[in-house]
Amino acid sequence: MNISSPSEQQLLLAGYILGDLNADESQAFEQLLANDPTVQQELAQLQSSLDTVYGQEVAPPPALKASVLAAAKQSTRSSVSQRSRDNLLVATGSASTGLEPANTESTSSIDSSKAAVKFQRKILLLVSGVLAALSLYLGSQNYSLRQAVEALQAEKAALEQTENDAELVRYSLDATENATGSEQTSSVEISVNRDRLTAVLDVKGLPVLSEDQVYALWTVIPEDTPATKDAKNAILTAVFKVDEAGNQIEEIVLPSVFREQTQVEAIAVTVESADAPQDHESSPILFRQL
Amino acid sequence: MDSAPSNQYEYNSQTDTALWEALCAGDSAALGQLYDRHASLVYGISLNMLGNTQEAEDLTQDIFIKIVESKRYDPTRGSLRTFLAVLTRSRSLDRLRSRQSARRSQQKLESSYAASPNTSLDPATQNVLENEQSETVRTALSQLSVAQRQALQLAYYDGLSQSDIASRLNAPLGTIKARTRRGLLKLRDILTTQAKGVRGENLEGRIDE
Repeated sequence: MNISSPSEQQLLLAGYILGDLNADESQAFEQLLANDPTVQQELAQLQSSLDTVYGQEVAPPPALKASVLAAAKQSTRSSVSQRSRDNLLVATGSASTGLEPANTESTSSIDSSKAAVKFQRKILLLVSGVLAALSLYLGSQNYSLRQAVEALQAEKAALEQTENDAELVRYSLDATENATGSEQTSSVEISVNRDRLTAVLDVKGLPVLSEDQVYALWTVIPEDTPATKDAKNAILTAVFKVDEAGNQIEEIVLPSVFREQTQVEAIAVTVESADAPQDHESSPILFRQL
Repeated sequence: MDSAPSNQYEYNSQTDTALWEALCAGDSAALGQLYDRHASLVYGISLNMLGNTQEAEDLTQDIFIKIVESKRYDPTRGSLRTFLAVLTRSRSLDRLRSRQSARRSQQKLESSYAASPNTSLDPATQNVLENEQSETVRTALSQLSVAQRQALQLAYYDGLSQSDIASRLNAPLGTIKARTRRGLLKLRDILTTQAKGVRGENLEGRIDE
């Protein structure tokens, strides 16, 4: 693409700032950039015009930068660690058994790579077992093999840690307008393990109920989800009471809809009759959209 | 945003493209520099749209992590700053929709109960733009044609692709591209002239004194 006139050049610069160059224009833009040092200044002016009209700059809190950089470092490290595990698998013979390295697109997300991590963990356990047996056979003289076993064991520990970190998702419930004063100041958290379909319910400061009442935890699901639910699209998930201080910690079993995030709309807590909490007659005092 | 262009974004010794390439090559310090240049825009858009500092901080962090992880930005096609602004608006809208969906869900759940909360929902972004624009900016925009103004807003503010805009406005893609670009060039010329005018008035004022 040949850009000759100044007006064409200007349109090209505007296209770059708007982010809509096609491949040919992109090439022409790079040539322009290389040949004309004043282009950068023009780009700055155009960008500034967009900022002036549509931008809304506000200085973020100073501490945010450190937080972003630390999170980025962590993210990069887990991505690199994942890649090194892939390489290790290939180097120890998985390629010859037909296993492909994990898709690097999916390694960037801990959640999305959980299945791959589990699979690799099994492979690592198998390979480390074989290597350990081989190492015994060859005796202490095979130094490099021992090193490989140690490296695999370290990787296995790291994988277990990653898996544990990835599995628990914590949700705090918020008080609704129906909550009383002490319910408003209470803290109810649920730490969900989607793979195991279990959760830890951690309650602090809820009022002690009378004998004929209980707290009910509900899983609210979309109307079209194929699951057994009540008229309010809710599944009774747990029934609990609190101790004298208003606290309670217990492990609960979750309905299978928790396996898919899209199948769960919210979780809610109500106060129900102890005889028939499944009747679901009360308003939610605590609520959390998922 | 009263004097244009007040928030002049400067291309320093290292361009965004150079920093981006350094970041992709593993130079983590480059992210710090890119953050310094663009965080106030990302945070400002997030805060303006979400209206909550905690959520705005969360989204700002999310945006910077996402660009590092996905490497989806292509420096040969457009500027990083525009990419970040459009991405931030898009993610803010996702969160607003999710928040509205949460409220609807809660209302739906509570509608069957005796006490129903009286919560009204605001449209996600309606009037945000108008409320934010200063007189200077409104004057500048009023000098663009309606079609240019519409195309620019759809492209930059609403984050639509050129082909989406062409489809929405029922116009050929080439026409939309040219219209948006000419709109931006005209906007720059108007703002630059206005800024010169303001500087001239200030100078005259000082001379009179």
